[in-house]
Amino acid sequence: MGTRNLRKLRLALWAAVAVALTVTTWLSIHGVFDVPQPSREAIAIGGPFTMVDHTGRTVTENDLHQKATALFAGFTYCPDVCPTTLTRLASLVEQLGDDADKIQVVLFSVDPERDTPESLKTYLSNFSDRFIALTGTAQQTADFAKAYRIFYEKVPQDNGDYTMNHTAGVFLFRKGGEFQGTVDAHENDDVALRKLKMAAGL
Amino acid sequence: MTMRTTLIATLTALTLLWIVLPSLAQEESGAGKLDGVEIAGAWARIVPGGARTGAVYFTLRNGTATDDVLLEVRTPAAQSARLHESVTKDGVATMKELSEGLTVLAQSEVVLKPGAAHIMLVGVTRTLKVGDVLPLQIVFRQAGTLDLQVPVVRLGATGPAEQHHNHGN
Repeated sequence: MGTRNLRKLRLALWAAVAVALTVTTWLSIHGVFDVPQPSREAIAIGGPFTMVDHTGRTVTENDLHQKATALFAGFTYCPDVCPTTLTRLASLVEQLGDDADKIQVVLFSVDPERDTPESLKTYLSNFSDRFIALTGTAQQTADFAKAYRIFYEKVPQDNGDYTMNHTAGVFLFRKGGEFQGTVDAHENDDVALRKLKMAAGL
Repeated sequence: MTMRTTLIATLTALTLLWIVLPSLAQEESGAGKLDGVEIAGAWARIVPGGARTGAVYFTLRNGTATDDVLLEVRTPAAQSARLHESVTKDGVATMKELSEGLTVLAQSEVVLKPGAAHIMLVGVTRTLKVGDVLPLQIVFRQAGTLDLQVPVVRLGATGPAEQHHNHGN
């Protein structure tokens, strides 16, 4: 290889270095190499919302998180999973005895089209007079679900009716809104009760 | 027979029926048997208010030597009664219609219970309250049609026992 060719190669290599540096700098500026920092608040669930409760009162995130909360997504036309879960929650909360008022059970309606505050009030009266239900406009409901990472979808039935698919688990929050964890239907009552107590700070 | 005798006979018969029927109904409530296929421990919970949906649960036993299929459920108390299964997949609760029916193998049983297979009542047309009885007709491929009287329990109930013994939770 002649000197001339060597010079060409050196120039080409320097050019490659320059391109690599530019690309790396650009990527770095745009945060591509950022490693997510581990956070003490492991999962951020929740956020600003405006809904109406079963008594017709406006509720925001500040009102909701005045107390530890067990949040469940459901709807009044749901004949099986929702009554089963709410019945279980009523029984668990009852087992807290004098501390029962340290945690609130909140039913978030995924079916605002049919669940009015009045129908939710009637529905809740079958489980516990402590329970709270939240409903709203379609948009408010979608915003709440997004903030609280709740999935729901409408499933049309062949008779023109519809049912809802929805997140099945119960989400637990400490007073102030810090996400504590979930309770699912397959856990035994002892485990579920311990989780409720933890969320309630008992 | 004179008019008078007929009237007395009819009244007597009606009185007897009036005495006998409730006790029969009590005994039959929530259970039924037909050619080796048996239903036991039936209970229903109805969503009151505007929703008018409901769920019916029971244990289905097939004592025969052949498999049978629960094909259809009929009731005069609702627009329709559908065979459903609640399925929770990836944390999402869904309902699946068992359109092919529910198979009960020979010499075995299937339990319809909360969070699993159940009869869903859509558009309950009668006012049903705790203590009422819901008439159901269960149609099997082999055994035929079984009539069932299902006790209605409160929405927050977890089984049929509470209705009879007042246990509470």
